[in-house]
Amino acid sequence: MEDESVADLSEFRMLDPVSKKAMYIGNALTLLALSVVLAAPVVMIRGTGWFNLTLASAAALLALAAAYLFVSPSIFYKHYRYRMDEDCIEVRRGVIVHSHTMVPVERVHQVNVRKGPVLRRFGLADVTITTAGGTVTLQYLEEDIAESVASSLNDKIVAMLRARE
Amino acid sequence: MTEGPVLRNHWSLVASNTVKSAVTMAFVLLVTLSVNDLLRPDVYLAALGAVSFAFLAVYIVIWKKTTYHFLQDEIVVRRATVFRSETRIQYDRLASVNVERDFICRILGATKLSFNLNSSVNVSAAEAYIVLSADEAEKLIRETDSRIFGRPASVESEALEEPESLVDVSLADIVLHSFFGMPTSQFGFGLLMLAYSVWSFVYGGSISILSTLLFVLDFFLPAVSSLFRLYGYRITRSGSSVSISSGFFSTRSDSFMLSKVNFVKVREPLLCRLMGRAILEVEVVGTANNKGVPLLCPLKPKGVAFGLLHDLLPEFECTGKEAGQLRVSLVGIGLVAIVVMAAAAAVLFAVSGEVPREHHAALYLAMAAVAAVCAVWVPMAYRTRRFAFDENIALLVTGSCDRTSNYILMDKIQYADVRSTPVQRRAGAARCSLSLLSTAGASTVTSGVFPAEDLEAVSGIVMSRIRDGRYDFRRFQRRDARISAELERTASPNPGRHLILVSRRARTIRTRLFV
Repeated sequence: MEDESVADLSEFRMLDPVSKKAMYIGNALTLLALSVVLAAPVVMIRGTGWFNLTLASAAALLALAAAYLFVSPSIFYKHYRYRMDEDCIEVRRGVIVHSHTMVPVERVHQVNVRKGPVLRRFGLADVTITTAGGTVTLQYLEEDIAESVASSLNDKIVAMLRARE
Repeated sequence: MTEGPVLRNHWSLVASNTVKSAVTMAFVLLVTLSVNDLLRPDVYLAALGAVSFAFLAVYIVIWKKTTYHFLQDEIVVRRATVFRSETRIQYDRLASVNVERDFICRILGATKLSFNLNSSVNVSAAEAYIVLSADEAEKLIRETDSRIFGRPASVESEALEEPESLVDVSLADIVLHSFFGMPTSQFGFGLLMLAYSVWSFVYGGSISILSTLLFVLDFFLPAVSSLFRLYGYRITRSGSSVSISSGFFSTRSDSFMLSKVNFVKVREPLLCRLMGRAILEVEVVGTANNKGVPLLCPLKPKGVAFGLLHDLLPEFECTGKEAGQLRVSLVGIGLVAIVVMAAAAAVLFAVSGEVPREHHAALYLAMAAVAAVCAVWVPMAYRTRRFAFDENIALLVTGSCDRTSNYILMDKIQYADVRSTPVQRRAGAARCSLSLLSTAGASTVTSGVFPAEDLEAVSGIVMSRIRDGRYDFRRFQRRDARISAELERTASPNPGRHLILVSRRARTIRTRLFV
């Protein structure tokens, strides 16, 4: 079973299409929070000479954010790829700025599987991989794949520690 | 395994903690009693006395119940207070040991020893510390030196002989370092504030408090603090370990194994470059508190700094050919300059309404100054950033006015991230971020804009070194035969045991901690 899951992940994989829905809902919540944050200064300076300028700036910022948050999930989904083999984890992602992250399994200290309310609703999970130099997150994985990645990493690190002894 | 003698902290720790708590409580009580209209000298002193006595009692219990055992291969710290704990620190996992004598310690004849693990967790605080009398501390250092750093146990005659410093650092060097070694932005801002203070005093008749305060806080105090901190700077080597000591009021000594150096930085702020001088710094966990990364060499001629790098850490020399940035980098740099100029123009336009018309020339002058700074900054940012690599080392030269050459061992790179914008992708270019363990915990060094293929090669080399066995973790740990034998005897039957924590609230977190 373990070997099969490792073999499945050795080639670059795309995310499940349902992840786009999770991204849209997450982005809608982000937009809501941003609206509240931007509304606060607008309400506070109501009646002053700066009101129109602030309102226009807040509206422009909100419109830009809305456009980005609406468009980004499909681009993010299109570009997102991940793979894991015996000794490294690779992630390719990005909307405007594309990134390629490579983490040697040898450097992994800790593995977290996180499922927020939105991700749980769609049967998804994030896997956060912690190294001494920082963390890398595999986002929007299907729950079973996330668990498989975590347990596979666990097995590899245990084997590595045993070999060192 | 023998337990060895039991050590406890010096009584001065109880005294100093009690005094610190009493001072804090004096303020808290003052505010509390004032608010409740109960502020009378007798009530205040009685309350302060009672609270201080309570703190004293607590600190005495903690002092009594905290014990230290320095065993053959590890330090065991036991605390049997309300929260019982036992901390075990293996000597070969230690990144550094600090010996501190602050002002209070010097008055009370005490020394604080801190032990730091090579880990990003708890990087801002030592894993364990013990305060001992100066004599006891010296004795303990002598006893544990060979276990921690593999140094031969010193005999009395050798102990009296002070080893020669690897670099001859005069007071003039320290003064230069303290004032010119700071980043150019800090230096320039400090001088600008000083100039404004003088101008406001001469032409306005009164000194500007804000600019004077900013000058003192941003420039003068950091420089003077650095001067006192680095006074009497010495760097000595014993085998594969290095000790750095300095200090005027408070003295501090950091010792670490050269194999625990995570990466090396050669810093050259603009004025230092013009003077042909450089600062050599290393990133080792635990060797910095709130006072910056440890220096191997304060501001000295470049030849001296690079000579020391060559002597102490020859494996950090890069044989690869340095390459300059691709021309496409000018797009990003230019964009930054345009944004800065636009922001400056917007601010000056916004304040122009408040400034009398006869002073508008000053605003134009300020805008011209910002434009001139940007015009100088763009070519500097383009030319300064460079990149080279070979099979062992990646060299990332970063900065613009201030140049920092980061020498990074491939085997110390935790992970690599290559990023590209749409414009960079069209030119086959990218930037690379290398994540490392540093003095301040996790740290990232980001390159300029170079061919994506070359930057991707860094990750490739890191992986190939792991795959073909050129990366050997034992190279970065000190395990002498005795300790290895002991470890083998006491090796856990399940070395990869792990703890799984699961929490279910708003989100589920499943954590595997490798212990």
